[in-house]
Amino acid sequence: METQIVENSYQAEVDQIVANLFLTMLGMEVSPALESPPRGDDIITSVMPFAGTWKGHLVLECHWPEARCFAKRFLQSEDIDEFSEDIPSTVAELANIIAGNLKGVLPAGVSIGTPSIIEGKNYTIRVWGGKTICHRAFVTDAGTFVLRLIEEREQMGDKQ
Amino acid sequence: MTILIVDDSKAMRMIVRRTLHQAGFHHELAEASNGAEALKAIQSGQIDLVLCDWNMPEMNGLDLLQKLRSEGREIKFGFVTSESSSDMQATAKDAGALFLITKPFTPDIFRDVLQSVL
Repeated sequence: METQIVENSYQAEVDQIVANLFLTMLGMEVSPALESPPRGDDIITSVMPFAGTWKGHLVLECHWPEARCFAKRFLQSEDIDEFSEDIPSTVAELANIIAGNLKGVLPAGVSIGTPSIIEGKNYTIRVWGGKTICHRAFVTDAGTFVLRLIEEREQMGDKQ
Repeated sequence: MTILIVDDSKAMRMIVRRTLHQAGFHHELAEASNGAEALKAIQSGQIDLVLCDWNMPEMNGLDLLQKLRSEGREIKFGFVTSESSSDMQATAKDAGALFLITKPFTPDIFRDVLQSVL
C-alpha cells in the first residue's frame, strides 16, 4: 500500500540530517537559507530514488565550484582540480547519505536506490507526476545549495 | 591482517581508508566497488575483515554476506551504510554481520566499533 505525504513535511528532519552530515564529515557549518540561489550555469545535481511503499526522489543541487569545495572538504584534499571525478562522486555520496538517513523517518517499507548524477548547463530535472513536498536551501561558507524531496503521485502512463 | 573496503563510491572508499588511519588502524587495505568484485577478492585472497556498503549495483552488501555464509566462509563482516533502521540492523545481524556503522561517522565511532573486532 502506498502512502501520500503532506506537503512541507520533513523540514526539521532534513535540516538536522544535513547539518549533522556537513559538520561531521566536511567540518562545515550549515544553516537554512531564506531563499534558493539563482540557478545559473555549471550546475551539478544528484538524484536519489525511493521505491516501495512511498515513491519519490531526493534531489541535491549546487554549483560546480561549490561542489568542488565540498569534495575538498569531504576528501580532505586540496588536490582536486575543477574536472576531477571526485566532485560528482562527492555530490552523489552526500545525496546518498542524506537519503539513507531520511529513509529512517519515511514510511516503513521504503527502499533507496543508487544515485544518478546530472551535470551541464541549462537543464531541468522533472519527475513524472512529481510533487515537491520539501524544498530547502542551505548556506555554507562555499555557497548555497538546494535540496528537494519530490513525491511521485502519478505513474508514467496514468490517465488523468 | 587485511581489511577489504567495499563501496560503489570511490569518494567513500577514500574516506573509509582515511577514517581507519585516523582511528589508529594501520592494516593492509584492499578495495572493491561492488559485491561481485568483493566476492572475487575474498575467494582469491587473504581478507580478514570486510567493511561493506549496503546499496550497491550488481551485488549488494547483504547478498554478498549471504553468499559468503552459504559458502561456509566465516570471515568477519560489518556494514558501513547510510541507513540504520531497526529492520536493517536486525537483518544484518541475522545474516551474520558483526556491526553496522551508519554514515556520517567519525574516527571515534570506528575506534569504538572495530576495537573489539580487530
